Amino acid sequence: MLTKLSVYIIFLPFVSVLFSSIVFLFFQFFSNQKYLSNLIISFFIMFSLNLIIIYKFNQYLNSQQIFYLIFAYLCNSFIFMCLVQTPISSLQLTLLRIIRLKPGINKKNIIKKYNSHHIFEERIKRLESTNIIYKKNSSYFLKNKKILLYLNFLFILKKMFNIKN
Amino acid sequence: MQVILDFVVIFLIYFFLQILLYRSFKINLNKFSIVLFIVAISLFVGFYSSSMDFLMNLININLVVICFWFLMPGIINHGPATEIIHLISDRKINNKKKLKKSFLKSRVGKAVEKRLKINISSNLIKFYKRGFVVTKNAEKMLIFLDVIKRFYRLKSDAY
Repeated sequence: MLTKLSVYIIFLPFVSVLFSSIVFLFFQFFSNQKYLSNLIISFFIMFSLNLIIIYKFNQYLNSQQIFYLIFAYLCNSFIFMCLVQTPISSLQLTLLRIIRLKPGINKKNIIKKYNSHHIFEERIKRLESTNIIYKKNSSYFLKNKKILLYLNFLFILKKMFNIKN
Repeated sequence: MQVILDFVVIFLIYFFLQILLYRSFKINLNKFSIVLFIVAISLFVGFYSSSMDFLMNLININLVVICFWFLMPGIINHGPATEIIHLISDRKINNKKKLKKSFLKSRVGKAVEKRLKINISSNLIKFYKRGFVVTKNAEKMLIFLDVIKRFYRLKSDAY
């Protein structure tokens, strides 16, 4: 039987991500920081709050419920982050926007408007502005080494799926 | 504890099934129709279930399926930013000119052409009078993502 507490537990990770999205919106309005920092901060605020709730109600929760609360929150947050990230950096979406703006545009004109040279400059700018890389005498260096964790994770998955670079 | 172990086993089976199918037959399970099918079945089963443990496992499994759906395109075609970081950190190419040259030579250098092909194969764009037009599904998707962009005051790099 589903008790009132079980219903709360089921919905808590979803409600938490909803609140996290509101906190993110608040930061977007009132903070000068980049969206990525706002996204990460809002995620950690709600994650800490979740951990406090779990700690407070520990005696009413079993291990399965605690696992669910943490895991579902992490998954929901990942989905939310992807949804926020997609309109900003998706190449596929940028191409769709170009085609929507000029219906009937051919491949040649698309590449004239948006090609690898543009993409390179854009990405270098964004990586610089998000403090992942820095420029020194016309050379670029990694500033934030944490990004290598993500890079290694990605390349391990690529190897597992046998996808060549 | 047993229920958590059950979930871990299901997760590992799903993960290794994906690897096996992709490595052997180039079959990608992470398609919108397949994800929708799994979610629909889970909703139906979940609606008639009265076990809390089962319901929590079902939600977790669905979340894993959706997360994989978001993750897989990035694994198959990693983005330009990832390529730049890879060139700087692993290949030790730091000079901007050399970096750009290597970037353009790499697979990501053909990213626009590749993404166009993906858009065609996933029915997001179609040919019309010697050019491309977006399909209705792509139009809906663009509207939805534009709403997110405006709501959260996000700025994209281009367009």
